[in-house]
Amino acid sequence: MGSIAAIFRREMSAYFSTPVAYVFIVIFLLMAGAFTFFLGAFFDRGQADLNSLFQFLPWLFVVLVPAIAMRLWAEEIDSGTIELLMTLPMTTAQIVVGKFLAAWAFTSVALMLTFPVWITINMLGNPDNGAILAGYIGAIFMAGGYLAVGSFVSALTRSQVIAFVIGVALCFTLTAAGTPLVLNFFSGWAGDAVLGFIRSMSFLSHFEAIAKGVVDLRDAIFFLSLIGVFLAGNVLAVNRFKDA
Amino acid sequence: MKANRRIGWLGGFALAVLAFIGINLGAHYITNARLDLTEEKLFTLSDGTRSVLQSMGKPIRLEFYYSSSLGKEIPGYAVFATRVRDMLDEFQAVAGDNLIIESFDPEPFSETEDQAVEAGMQGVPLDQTGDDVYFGIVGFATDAREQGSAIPFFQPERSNFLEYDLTKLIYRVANPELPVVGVISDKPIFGDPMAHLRGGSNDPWVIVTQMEDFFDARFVYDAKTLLKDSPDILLIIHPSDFDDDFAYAIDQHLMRGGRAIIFHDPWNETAANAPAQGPGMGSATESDFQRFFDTWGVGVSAEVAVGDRGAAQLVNAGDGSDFVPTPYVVWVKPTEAQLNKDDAILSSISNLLIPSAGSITVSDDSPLSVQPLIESTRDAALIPVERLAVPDPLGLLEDYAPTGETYVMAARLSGSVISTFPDGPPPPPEPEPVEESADANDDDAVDGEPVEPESIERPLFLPHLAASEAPMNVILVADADMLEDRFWVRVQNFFGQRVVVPQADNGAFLINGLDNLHGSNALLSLRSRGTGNRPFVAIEELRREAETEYRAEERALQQKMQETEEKLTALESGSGAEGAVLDADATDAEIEQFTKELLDTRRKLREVNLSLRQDIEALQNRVQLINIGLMPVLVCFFAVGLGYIRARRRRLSHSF
Repeated sequence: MGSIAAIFRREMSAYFSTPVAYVFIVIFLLMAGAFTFFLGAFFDRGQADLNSLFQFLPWLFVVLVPAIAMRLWAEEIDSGTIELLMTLPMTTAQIVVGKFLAAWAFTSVALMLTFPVWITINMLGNPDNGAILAGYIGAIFMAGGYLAVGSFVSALTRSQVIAFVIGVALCFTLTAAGTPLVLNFFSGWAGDAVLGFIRSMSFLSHFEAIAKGVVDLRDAIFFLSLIGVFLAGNVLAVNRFKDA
Repeated sequence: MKANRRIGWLGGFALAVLAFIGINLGAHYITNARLDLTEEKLFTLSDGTRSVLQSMGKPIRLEFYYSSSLGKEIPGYAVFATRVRDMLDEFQAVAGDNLIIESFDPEPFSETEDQAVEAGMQGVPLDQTGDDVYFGIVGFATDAREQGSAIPFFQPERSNFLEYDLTKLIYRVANPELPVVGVISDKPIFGDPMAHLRGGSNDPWVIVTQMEDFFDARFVYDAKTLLKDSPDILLIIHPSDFDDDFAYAIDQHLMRGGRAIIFHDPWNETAANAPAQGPGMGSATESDFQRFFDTWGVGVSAEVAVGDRGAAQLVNAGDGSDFVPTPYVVWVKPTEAQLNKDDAILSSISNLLIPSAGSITVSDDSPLSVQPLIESTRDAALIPVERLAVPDPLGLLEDYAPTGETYVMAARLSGSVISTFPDGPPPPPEPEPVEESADANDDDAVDGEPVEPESIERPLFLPHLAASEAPMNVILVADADMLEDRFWVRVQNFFGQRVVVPQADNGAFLINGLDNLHGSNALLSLRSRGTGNRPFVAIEELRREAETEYRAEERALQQKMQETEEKLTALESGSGAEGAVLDADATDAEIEQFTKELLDTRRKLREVNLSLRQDIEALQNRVQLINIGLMPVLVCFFAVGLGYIRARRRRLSHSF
């Protein structure tokens, strides 16, 4: 555990010592804000809830979260520091988890910085704060899912650009899994059960279910198991560099 | 070595993916545990449902029909269907063995489909192939399949009322005997054949449909029907002409500890707007109930309606192209603070619309105990009903003079009273005089002999009670309009079925009242969960405040504009009259001046309208700016600050 904490601390201080993190946060907040008020018809809807924000979060994440994830491993592989990491007295799994947790914490911080809107609707009206809390919980889960996917992809290549592009594509597929756009790709040759399963992979439907105000154990299991699978894959991918 | 490694990690990953699939599939079948974080616990079964499920008394079977092809085509229905199934599972958990739930997926042309149609399920064609899909549920009390109660096709708009609909279905199946509600009204509550002839709809009011789920609602129009049906509860909506016998029968019902809900209106919007009808269609004002009120020591104001600026419904006071949201003070939308939440009827009601209600007054020597149910705010005034003949929201606002008192618009009356007919049943009406035959040549008539008057059957009254045998329980509401469909519900047509989407809790209020008087409180908590409207209260208040400031100015300008327009038309049309040639120039100049005034006034009017919106827009802009810009700016400062501190630290450490 101590090793995970050490990696976590190293990563977090790395985030905040370069401009990259701040640029990311600023851009994310600006986009989230603009989407909420302009695209999300915040005032026109006249409802004291955060649906105007939540409906865009999945799509914002699809584009921005792989940007965080892409540098998790690709940079280390490219610069060769990964071999250094592998010589440290800790298991690959600990390093992977440490890096992932740091990235997750960072993304969560960025997400929580949207809290002024929450305060605003409490001042303007009488929102269901429980449901909004559920929405944020769902968003954090979702961010974790995207990060796990992006981190896995990042460990497969030395190019951050490739990691980013493939990461975005994969995240997009997972988000839109319930829509005809994705399903049509499989509908020709896959059976009904497979299609049903793919549809249940949709980040969008799990997130929307949580954002209604109810955290179903099945949705939590979905996100946590997804993170587990991709972190496992991540460990396996990183282990390639652990030469005996 | 490398090759092995590669296979190794791919294989490992494949295993992980399989585990993932397994876990998720398994979770789907094993658990349905949930954490409901919503304020109103919208996703947890309410106590009312639990109580209904636990008190069913006999086994009930539910058959759930859902075509999986529907969910595949339209994913929204798949989500809804999962929700229905989840809720049925929860019902099962509470009801135990008493509830048997079976699910079917009707394939086209299968026996299951026949069974579904027989059970009353509505088949809807999905696409041009003509295959129908099904998404409904039916409940039976025994193994026999008659007397079922059904939801033919689940409507997504009613997804917020899913729990209510399912519980109601079960309740209906479990309790086929319904208490009798006698409806007394001069309005076409059960349907209007006259309107149908004129091309309108013959549908009963939605409140009737809702009542019929829990009560046996019967139309009572005279003393004989009242005595024959012997209702448990009387529902009196805008009563007007009673004959004495009828009034006596009602009085005696109440003397026997009878219960009633009375909707008595000083100004009935619909009657006021209706084309002139013959007698019996009801007037805008009514007073035949006054004799009861006199005995009880209560009353509903006859000449005035309650205006409540602090809780008024916004209407469009503009004309044509202008959209001018204005509070119409006589259409009251009470906030929760104005509802007596301690009363079981109102505990789950939050959203009512009461158009033009009167004020309930209680005299000091009234024998009844009166508990207010719905009151106005302190920003209320009494508006003479004549001012409501032509709706004038702006005018009412301008002349608004609040008294600082609150007025009661609905109250619960209970206690013992003396009969309104202390001397017994009223005397029978005089037989109509019959004319002697005037035609001497008429063979049929016998000269000089009067014809026997027809004998009139008297209603079979029960023994007379001069005072209450048991305390009466009456809910008095000073408005009858609120029960009409147009003020609280939207009705749509779905393949011949009426689909009802409530916009306000008026219907629920009535049902709660009937239920409460009937004595079964278990269902009350179910009625209205999640009408889900959470408006921006602060912005609406701002709008209301701005209204009062600017409307006065606007009114004055509009009046001036009207006068100027009138003068202008007078000039232009009158300029062909005598002495026109001499005055041509002067008239032209006047016309020019008036036109300029008109344009000027119009411009000022637009400015007033604009400044009305400006405050709100200013607030919105401020909110937007802060929410979008504040955090990014703070983050930048933080970043710069941190960078600066670091740079300083580095410089300091270098200086060693």
